[in-house]
Amino acid sequence: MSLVSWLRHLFVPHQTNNCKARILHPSVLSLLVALFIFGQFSLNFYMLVSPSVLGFASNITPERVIELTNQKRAENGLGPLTLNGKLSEAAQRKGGDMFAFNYWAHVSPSGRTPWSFFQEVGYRYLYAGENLARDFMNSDSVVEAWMNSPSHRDNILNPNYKEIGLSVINGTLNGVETTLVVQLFGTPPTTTAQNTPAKTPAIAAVPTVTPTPVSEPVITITPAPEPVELAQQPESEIGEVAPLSKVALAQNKGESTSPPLFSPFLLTKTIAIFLLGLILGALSLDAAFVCQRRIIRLSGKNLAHLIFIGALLLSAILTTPGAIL
Amino acid sequence: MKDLKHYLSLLAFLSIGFGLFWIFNFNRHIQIIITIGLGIAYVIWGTIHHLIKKDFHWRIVWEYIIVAFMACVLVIFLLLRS
Repeated sequence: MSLVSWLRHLFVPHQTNNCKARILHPSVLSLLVALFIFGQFSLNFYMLVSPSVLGFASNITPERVIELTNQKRAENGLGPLTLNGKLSEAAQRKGGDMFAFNYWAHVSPSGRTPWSFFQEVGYRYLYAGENLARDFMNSDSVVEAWMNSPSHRDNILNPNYKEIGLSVINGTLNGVETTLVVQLFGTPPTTTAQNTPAKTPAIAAVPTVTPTPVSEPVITITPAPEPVELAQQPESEIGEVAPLSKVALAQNKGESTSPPLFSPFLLTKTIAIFLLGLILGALSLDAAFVCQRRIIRLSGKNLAHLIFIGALLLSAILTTPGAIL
Repeated sequence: MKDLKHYLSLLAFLSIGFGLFWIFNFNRHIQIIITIGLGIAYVIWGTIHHLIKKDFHWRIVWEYIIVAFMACVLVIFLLLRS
């Protein structure tokens, strides 16, 4: 079979393919899906054996994320958040923990909550919250994604928060070079609050979980009024502005900092769009021939397939990398 | 145009699904659920359409299932990678 006749067999309804483009037969479509799934699992395997080859390059800076966060607050009539060095340190530790124990969640697999990092760096709070993001291209898209999610937006626009800590960390998560953004919010106990022990509950808000008053067991983490400690802690330290820095990849298990060669997301997106486009083209060609030659056959509606696949192709095109939690 | 109402209903639920997909951008779990929902809805639409047109056959339903499955698998794997 020559190349031309093979292409005709594949794309043009003819008696050799039972009057329907061969590529649109369920058996060929199933084969394409099977090959795609096999390719995806092969990519997963490749990511395990050569993690440094795959990854995601981003251009996110903590300063810009904080600037945008404060900008969103200002647009909603709220005061700016002050950068706190301890909160940023807690954010760095949280990000490092996610890479070290290979997880993407507010609570680690061993049950470690975000608030334990606050405690670890000695940040005492009345209110606290956490926003997470990964694999975004730039700072603007991170903040935009958070603002489009009601729970994350609530954190950014929470009037109770006074301070912010932020960390942008590169590392390897599930075999892929990843950029994590950890944004922590906090409100240190005021002198008034410190001196009124009855005034409780701090609120620990995790975006995906309904904010719950920290009035019961977690109270050990939250600021139990201790005037002595407050006296030891200089007022200026609470609002201290510490320089932020990107934590090098080398910090995590001593891995290489060289940029990845290609992104699994972009590869998958390219293949998915190509396959959907190929089927869309084949459906259009098939429909044109069926109409022109007035072919009568037992088959689904090409127009319906075109509309459905077109909608999903559009969804695939509009899908951008990045996830929030 | 023949079957205009049928195609308008198809366009309507696909538009709603696409709108929800856009609204829940970056919320991958919900986007995956929306994609699966669209695939199932499409197979149901195809089945009802051919039942009404009185040319229903299991081979046709199978075709709708394969088309929906293929498109959904491609988008879901893409969402899982993002």
